[in-house]
Amino acid sequence: MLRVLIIDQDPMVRYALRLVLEDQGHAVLEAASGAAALATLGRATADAVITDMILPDMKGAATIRAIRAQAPGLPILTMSSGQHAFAPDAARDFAAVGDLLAKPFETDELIDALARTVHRQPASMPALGAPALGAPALGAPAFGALA
Amino acid sequence: MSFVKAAHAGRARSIILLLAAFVSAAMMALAWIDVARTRAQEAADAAERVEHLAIAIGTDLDRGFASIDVALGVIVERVTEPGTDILRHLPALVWFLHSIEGHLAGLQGIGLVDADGNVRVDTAPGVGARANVAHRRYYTDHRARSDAGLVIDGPIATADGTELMVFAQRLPARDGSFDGIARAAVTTDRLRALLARAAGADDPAVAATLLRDDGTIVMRTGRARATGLAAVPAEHPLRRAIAAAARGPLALADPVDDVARLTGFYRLRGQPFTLVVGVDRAATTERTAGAIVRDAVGVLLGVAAIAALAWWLIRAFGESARLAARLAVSEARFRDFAAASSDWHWEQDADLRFTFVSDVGGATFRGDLARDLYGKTRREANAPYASAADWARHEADLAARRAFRDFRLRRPARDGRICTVAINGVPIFDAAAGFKGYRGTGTDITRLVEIEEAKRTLEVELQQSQKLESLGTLAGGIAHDFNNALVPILALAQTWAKRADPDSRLQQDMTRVVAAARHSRDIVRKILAFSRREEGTLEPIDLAACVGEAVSLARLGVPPDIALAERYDGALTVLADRSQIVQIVTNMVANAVHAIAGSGSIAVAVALAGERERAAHDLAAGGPLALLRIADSGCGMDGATMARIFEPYFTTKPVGVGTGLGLAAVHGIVARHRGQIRVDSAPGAGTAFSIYLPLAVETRQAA
Repeated sequence: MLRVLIIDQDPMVRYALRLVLEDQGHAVLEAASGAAALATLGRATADAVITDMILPDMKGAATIRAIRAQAPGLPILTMSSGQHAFAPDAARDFAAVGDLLAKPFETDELIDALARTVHRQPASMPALGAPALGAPALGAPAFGALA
Repeated sequence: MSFVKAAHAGRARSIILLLAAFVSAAMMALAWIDVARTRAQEAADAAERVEHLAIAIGTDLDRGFASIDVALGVIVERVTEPGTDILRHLPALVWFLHSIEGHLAGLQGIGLVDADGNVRVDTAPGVGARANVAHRRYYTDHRARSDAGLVIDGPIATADGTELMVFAQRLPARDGSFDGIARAAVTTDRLRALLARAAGADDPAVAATLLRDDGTIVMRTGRARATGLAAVPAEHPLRRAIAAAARGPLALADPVDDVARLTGFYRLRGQPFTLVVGVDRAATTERTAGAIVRDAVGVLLGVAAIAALAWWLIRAFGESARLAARLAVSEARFRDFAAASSDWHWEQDADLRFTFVSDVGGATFRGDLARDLYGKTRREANAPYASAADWARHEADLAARRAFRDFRLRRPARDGRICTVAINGVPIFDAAAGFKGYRGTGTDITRLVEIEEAKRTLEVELQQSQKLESLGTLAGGIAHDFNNALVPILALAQTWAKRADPDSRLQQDMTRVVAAARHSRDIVRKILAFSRREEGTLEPIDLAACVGEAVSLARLGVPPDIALAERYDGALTVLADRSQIVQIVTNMVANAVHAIAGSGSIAVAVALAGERERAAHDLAAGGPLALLRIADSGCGMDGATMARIFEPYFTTKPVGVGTGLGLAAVHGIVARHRGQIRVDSAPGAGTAFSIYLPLAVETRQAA
């Protein structure tokens, strides 16, 4: 059982992820912004963080930096809806971070990615690399390409 | 008596002698007055000729410089248009630069230089992207001030010994700050030829010099062409005259060969250059003056009785000599005009038949034109070169004896090129208002027309790419929101499908929701590909091998009664995103299959783009390009469809079959690869897509 903090401004997204994770036996904390997330981490412990790269108050990379400063070594899984540019310093911040999930994702992808991130398994992107006929993957921003 | 007689006789002789002396002196005086008048007249004529020559050559130079200015202006306008990303539009821009260069014969190259003085693109062969021109005056002038206008720098000696004049205009950034320059280089040989033609290269009495304000001799024609003098010192009277904004004509010693010439000046419009035209006047003036003096001496030795006659004769002779000299000057003047101008002149009689066409030899087609025209009407000589409607309009003007302007003919030149000429004419009437014919000018406006056409084509291309770009930005934003919205749909549906009893109605429906959500996710990915927001990495790949793999994938979707042929002409390395190339091929093959009803064939080929393709598809004559061609024998399409196929959500497939995103995504991918895409199709004649991708550098070096 893990205590997982979900950071996303969309309550529907948080609710759906909560359902998936609770079915896996995890406990879930929620935050709608970077500031709320840092406040939550200040009063409660978490085993992992799942955060969107675009938050209402701060950029995903800044959130990750702040979490890193407050809770070094906390596994962080990131999500993206496919629209942001990675700056080189952002890539450095990511060097110690787990998978990047492209929204929307299969529940199995989420579960696997969380497990990998928590267990520090090397990131791989089976869903992003190989194009298949009919639904070719389009080279979604993949953390693996930046590391 | 005899003394008286003798005294009488002596007085009479004295009177006769005195009379003779007086008459002679009067004759001499009259003759000298005549000489002085002639000289004054000739000086005035020579002054006028110098002045006119300076204006004629100067305006021709102005015109030449202005056409380069216009070309640069068009480029600056294109490059600085809001929303234009130079690098994104580089292929179109290079193509445009090349097309302009072709029209301005003699241009060595046109290019763009960034704010740091680095050459970003140049059409001239051998101008490397690494070249830096930050030390050049044409760069520093623009860097220093924003209102430098057209800066002309030179002559600049290049490594291979050529001398260049460089024309430069400023590229403003969106906030108005300095963002680099657009430049055009012209060899001085070319400008010198212009000068020589205008000055009448075979007339040794004319010397034309183009001087920069700092004294540099930019160009020089005439007798003393090769003296090696690079600059005129500031204290030279010529420099002082220019500094004092003299218009001339002045009698000045030519700084190059020290010959005294009557010198005229023409200040080039808005530029630190002055055209100096010098004409020797010794030859003609001395000859006429000598003749008059000889006549005067003859009269002096003649008999006083015919003094009046002689006096009249001298007057008459002097008058005719003066008239002949003036006529010669006037003829020279018109010859100068005809040679200096790029226009030609013509006359027609009352039957509208050509009686005169000025000879402007050396031009591409005019020699033929003159021979063809005499004795014919314009329509007899040119019938095929304008439309029937244009001829009807033109002939209505002629019938009404109206002046006409800009009547255009498109006729082949000697080298097979089609030239566009514009004809202006005015009717001539005699004193009794009787119609005598027409008289007018002709101008070769081919370059102007071609530049206009190139500009129009580029505008259409840019409009298209900007339209797609803004649609892409919109689509990208929507896609982002959809991706977010799909997260709960997919996750909740999958969760409830798992929680529900197996084979229950709920489980079945949730599985359907999952399938629908996945389908939506795929659509959004295609939108993102089109909007170019989703960027993979570009790496050197062998296009032929990559396309080969993609075709083997795509083959799975091709029915057995459609033949799929492949042809690869060796390995071609391009910088590309492998998965996107695969997407292009699978999309295009799927489209081809859709276009073929029943049996047919699809051909996929990868090759180096040849000159034929470049010409047929209006590609720039830049670096080598790889060509990926996907052709089908399907139903083809009309022009209206072709104009819209790259728009997102435009589809010819039945509702539910096509998303209308396939070709939009292909367009986005090709643009991201700095490539170009062309379509050849006609209803019933199949469709061929040609995708051109720039070859990666290593291939270029190996080639």
